[in-house]
Amino acid sequence: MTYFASGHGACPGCGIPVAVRNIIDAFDGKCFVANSTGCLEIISSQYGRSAWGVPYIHSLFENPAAVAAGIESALKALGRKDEGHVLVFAGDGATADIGIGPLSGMFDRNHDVLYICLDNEAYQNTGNQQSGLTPMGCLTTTTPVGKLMPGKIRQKKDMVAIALAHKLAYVATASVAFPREVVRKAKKAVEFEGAKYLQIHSPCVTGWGITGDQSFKIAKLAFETGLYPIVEFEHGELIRVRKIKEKRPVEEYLKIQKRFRHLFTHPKGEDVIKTLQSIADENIRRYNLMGTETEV
Amino acid sequence: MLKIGLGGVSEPYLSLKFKTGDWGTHFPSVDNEKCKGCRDCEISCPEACIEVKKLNKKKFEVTFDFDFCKGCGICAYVCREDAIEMIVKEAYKV
Ligand SMILES: Cc1ncc(C[n+]2csc(CCOP(=O)(O)OP(=O)(O)O)c2C)c(N)n1
Ligand SMILES: [Mg+2]
Repeated sequence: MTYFASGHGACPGCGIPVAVRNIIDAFDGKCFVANSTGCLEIISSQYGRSAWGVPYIHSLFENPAAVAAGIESALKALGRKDEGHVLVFAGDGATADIGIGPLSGMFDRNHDVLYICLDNEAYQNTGNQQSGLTPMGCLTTTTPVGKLMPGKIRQKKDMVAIALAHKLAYVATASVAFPREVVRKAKKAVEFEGAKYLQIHSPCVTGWGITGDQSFKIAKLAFETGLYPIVEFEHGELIRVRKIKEKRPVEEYLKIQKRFRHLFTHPKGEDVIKTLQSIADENIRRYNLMGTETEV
Repeated sequence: MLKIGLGGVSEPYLSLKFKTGDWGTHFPSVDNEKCKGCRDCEISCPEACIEVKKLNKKKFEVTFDFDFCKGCGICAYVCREDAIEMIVKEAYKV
């Protein structure tokens, strides 16, 4: 029995349904979901084609946090909080860009909501436009590669730091390639009263220019290079990280994706790769990622 | 008085009417002898179409719902025992 049914329209190899299904199944379907416009909404909630077996609302692109805050307040006022957790599933564009105002408000009012950002590193539903969470050097339709531009110029926005700055009780990252850890973190998160933030890295087959069977492998590489640190904070304190057993150079991650391939031929590519390597190294240092302990 | 309707409301699980099994070019095939029952394939399947059944203490049976399998190959990738192989569908053989 699953609360997120087959027959949805995700691309073959997309990690989003894996994370979503495992999370809502872990809550035995006892949850209320607000979902911003984006891939998840399109693949699962077209009229007459819903994949959902839990109460679900498609908000707008920009306001899932506000809608979830309303649901939580209503449940509280009606004395029905025991009916389930209030969850948001939102893309990286919805989270880090257009919805960041309502998100900050929801965090600030500390609604009892678990906000889950499905981070496929661009506006993928509309065909790969850059977002604040698109990494440096990435080719998108709004950061094209030409004589001058080697893809996106600036770094990925640190949404974890932004969430932490709101003094939330629980902030964590995860990856679709580690589904058991995704479940553990969602379950852990809801033990805390108030607003929680969980950001899940999720490769996009079409936007990243990869094949479906590579998506988990690439998600793992993002972690093993240090480019996507998997971390867990409680009350602002780093309490746990997923350890990298064998560190991989960023090139290994970049060269197998169409969105980064130009970096190996573009005149500015070498510099971008160097910067990406230093970002990865800095993540490893800052979060002390090297080690052998195993996660769930 | 202003009346607010419910808007577009859908019944649950209607997606089950849409068989996505013909999307893919490949399909998985399992060697049940190799399966140790870790269930990595089951939890990692984006289509929720894999079931790992325990037959007895040591034996497991992996089944795929081919009505929905899109042939992505994640199950074959995550399998620790190399028990799953992706096979090209007849129609896509060149
Ligand atoms: C106000 C508004 N602007 C633009 C759009 C068009 N639009 C729909 S989804 C989307 C991108 C979603 O990106 P993201 O939040 O990262 O989710 P993803 O599709 O990548 O999962 C855009 C630009 C919209 N629906 N509403
Ligand atoms: Mg996105």
